[in-house]
Amino acid sequence: MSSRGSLFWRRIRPSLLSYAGLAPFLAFALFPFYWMLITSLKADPNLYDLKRNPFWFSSVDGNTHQPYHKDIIVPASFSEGVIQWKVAQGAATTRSDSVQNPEPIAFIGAQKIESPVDGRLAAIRVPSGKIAHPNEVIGFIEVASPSLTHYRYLISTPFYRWLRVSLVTGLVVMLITLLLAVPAAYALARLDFRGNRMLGIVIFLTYLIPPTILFIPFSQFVGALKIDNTIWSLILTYPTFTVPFCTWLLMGFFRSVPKEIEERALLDGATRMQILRLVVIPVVLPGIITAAIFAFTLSFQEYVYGLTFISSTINRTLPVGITVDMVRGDVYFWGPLMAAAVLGSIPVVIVYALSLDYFISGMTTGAVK
Amino acid sequence: MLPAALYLALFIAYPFGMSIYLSLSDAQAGNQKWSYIGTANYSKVQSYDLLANDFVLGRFPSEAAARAFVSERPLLKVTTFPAPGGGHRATLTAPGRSIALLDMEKEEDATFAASTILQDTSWTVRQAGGKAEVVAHEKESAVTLGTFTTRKAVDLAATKLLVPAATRVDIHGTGVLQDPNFLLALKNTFKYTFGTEILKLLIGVPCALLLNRKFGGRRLLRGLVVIPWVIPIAISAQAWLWILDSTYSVINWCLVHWGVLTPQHIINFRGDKDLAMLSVIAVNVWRGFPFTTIIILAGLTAIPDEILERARLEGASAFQRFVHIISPMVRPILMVSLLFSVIFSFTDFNTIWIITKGGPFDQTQVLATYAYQLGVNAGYLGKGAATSLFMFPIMAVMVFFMLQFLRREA
Repeated sequence: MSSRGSLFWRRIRPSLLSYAGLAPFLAFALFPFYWMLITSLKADPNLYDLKRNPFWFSSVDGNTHQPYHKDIIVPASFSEGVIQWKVAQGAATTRSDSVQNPEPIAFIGAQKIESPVDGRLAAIRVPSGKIAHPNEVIGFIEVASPSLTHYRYLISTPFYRWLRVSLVTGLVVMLITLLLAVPAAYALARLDFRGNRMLGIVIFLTYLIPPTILFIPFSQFVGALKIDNTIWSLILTYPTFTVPFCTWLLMGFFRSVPKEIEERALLDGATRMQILRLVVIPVVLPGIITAAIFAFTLSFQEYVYGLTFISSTINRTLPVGITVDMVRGDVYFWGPLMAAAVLGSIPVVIVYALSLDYFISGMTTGAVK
Repeated sequence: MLPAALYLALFIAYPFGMSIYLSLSDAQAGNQKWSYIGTANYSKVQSYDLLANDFVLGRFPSEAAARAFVSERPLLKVTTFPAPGGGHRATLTAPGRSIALLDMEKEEDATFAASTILQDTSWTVRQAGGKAEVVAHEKESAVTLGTFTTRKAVDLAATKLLVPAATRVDIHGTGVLQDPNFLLALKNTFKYTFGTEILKLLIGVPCALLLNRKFGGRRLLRGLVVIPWVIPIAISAQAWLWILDSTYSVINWCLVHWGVLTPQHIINFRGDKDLAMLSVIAVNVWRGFPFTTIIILAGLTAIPDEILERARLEGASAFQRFVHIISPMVRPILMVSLLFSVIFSFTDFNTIWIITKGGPFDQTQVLATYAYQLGVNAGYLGKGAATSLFMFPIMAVMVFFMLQFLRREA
């Protein structure tokens, strides 16, 4: 045991200085994500409790030192009547706005009492069969923190629809980009024609023209085509930044394939397309995967076009939907907002984790080659 | 090849041309007929106001003489008479004294301006070059001497002021160059770009040097550092909004907890004009420094180990190795990453739009957000296009340097 421990120690010790040096950088890079995650899991009373350490969960109110709880109040519009509890004390409750048509927790005659929060029905003040009056506190619900309440709430928002729009757009744009960029990059890297090099530079330059210059004319353009407020406006315009970038990226990969292999195949009677399909593409597959990853992530990250072209809530992309429609007026619903941010990051994190090396090589070649 | 070229021609060259056309037209959202109006969106002056202040009414050999003149003020009267070169001359007169103030076309204008100077200014005595001057100063703003339609007229009018004064010309117009918010956005764009780029380098370079050391788990840590760059900024900026919240900011919580601030005096990061700019810069740096780090790291790993090893054997210190070997070898790649990064920051919209929407009171407005404000929110397509096209010349300069650089490397 001790020898294994010391072996471990001997291996790790030279790295310690590096770890210590990198710690502040990592903390800076990752803190917002930690903050997003912990916020999304805190129940509302915990989230807005300034008396408690915000870096971790608490289930006890910092002011009253009671467990967080929410009163169940008979709405003022109700008339008094005999109360009939639907759930027993100690049972879990679901707040009224978290899913469509939630089960009521109690009835006063024909009037439904719904739960104000997710939690556990901790106490019943007015037992079944007794009269309940308007504005009367008839019981309370204990609120647990951490809890998944904000994630459950997302079902009642268009969140999943936005996610689908973003994923579909990302995938379609990825396909279009590859169909356009692979042949273009191959031609620029291989075929000898006049202005070849110049054309490569022009394609690269188009990547540098930012969406913030193009979004105003594009908004007129998609309006004229009558595709504004549809996913097509995005599918048509996103390749304007993915195609130049991916062409530039792929050119570097195609150039690294030795010409001799192709010349041999050409002598053996293969056509250009056959060479591309059978010889070149298998060799540059890592490059194509990198291009595909970038086409997807660049589309998934896009914001200005999505904000400008799409006007109805249900057709939005995820980043735009979260920033525009999860804020009502000036009120930010921080819990659901952070839950949406966490879930929205997951597709990109998965793509990224599966392709870390491709991703980083793409970042460097895209910028450097 | 052809499909890609065609697509790009259609979807980049065409909108780009259209952008230029829009900027030269009076296009507005909801208005079907657009007509060519030349460069009026860029610059169209309607009037030049000539303003002046701090009129030097007289120079006196001693302070006492100057004070005597100030005490004569109730005796002074404005009189006008035809000026020698045409127009009317307004003078301040008192028994035994006459000060020619200004010449103007119309008699009532001359009288009005002179009366303003006589009645609405405060007169002080100041020392200048061994003499005492009596200066008439308008506290609230300056005295408007006239409104003109051409530059020539306003310059001519300025010469007709017969006493030394601090003059200035206020230009009013409908082009973006006459729009104070546009000028503010332009200034902010530069502030934002330089602020972020310097900080990105200050954070990115040491981070890359550390990641270039040999240690276990290097690949994992490198992967973690890049995460801010990977997650869509619109999503991750939500976390920053919450971190910078006016009531529940975790930064405020810590400062209160450590006793630096009292709960009544917490910082409003997005509401204060200087802090709002710092906040958007911080968020952009957070998002962008991984890019700088990774590019520099690529440059660092390309340095052959033997060179560094030999330098070490010959007794070069870590600092000397950094200055004489590492930094010249990394410089080319660093320049390219910097140029890229400058272009990203210069044309950035997302960070600012999400964190501050250009506020408070346009203090964090940059060209991209202002173009959106004008072109999309307000519907002035022409002016919006003109604003966004202002990014282009600067981009072109950047790209020119980048191409020069790439050519030299190739």
